[in-house]
Amino acid sequence: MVSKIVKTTAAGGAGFLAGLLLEQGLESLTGLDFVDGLFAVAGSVLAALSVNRELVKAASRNIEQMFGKDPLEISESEWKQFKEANPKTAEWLEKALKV
Amino acid sequence: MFPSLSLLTGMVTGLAAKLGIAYLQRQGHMPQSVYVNRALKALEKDDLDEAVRNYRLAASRKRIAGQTEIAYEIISQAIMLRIGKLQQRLAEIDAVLNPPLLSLRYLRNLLPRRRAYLESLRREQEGFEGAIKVLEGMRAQLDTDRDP
Repeated sequence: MVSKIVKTTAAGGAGFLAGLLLEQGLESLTGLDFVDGLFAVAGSVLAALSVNRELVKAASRNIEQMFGKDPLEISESEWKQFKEANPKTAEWLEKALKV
Repeated sequence: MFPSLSLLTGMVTGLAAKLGIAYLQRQGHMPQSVYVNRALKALEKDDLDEAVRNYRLAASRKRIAGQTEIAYEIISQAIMLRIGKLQQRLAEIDAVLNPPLLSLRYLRNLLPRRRAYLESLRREQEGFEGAIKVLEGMRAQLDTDRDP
């Protein structure tokens, strides 16, 4: 039983080291990170999913800079002013936030 | 000693994915939302160059998506807000540098000890004027890929 564990651990360790050396060698030769390449696909999908949240964040930052206060605190006339300058953003925000 | 087939397959897949994704991203072939997301992230970091670059990649398609249109408004407004702030500061500087003739400020500006301060304001003014030109250039770049 013990010898089996030792053998498995040794094989696992050797495999890990071999893989690590191979990856490091390939990376230093080609300058590419293989794992990163695969994660780039997932990253692109995630980016597509999170774009709505980023739009809300960016629009509220603009409102904050425009009026110097939190978007939740702006008055009706200030909102109309924002809507006039950014009709599509305002319309989209109204739909997204169900105002 | 030779690497196994599964390891080689993994390596080739990783390499192809990495090179393929990099190529597609550079050429603007990824979904518009990917570039819009990057543009907004860059805007959050105050990197307007990167924001405009990514927006242009998103807008390089024939049909611009709704999210891209909204990103245009957001980036455009962010640029206009910066220009507005710079113009506000320019007006303040101008009031100090060019006060009404024979006003108290005008007479104070004649004092030799104010010379260095006024010179630094002039330099600041030049810097702000240059920054406004750069921002206006960025705004023009945003409009490049839009339909007339």
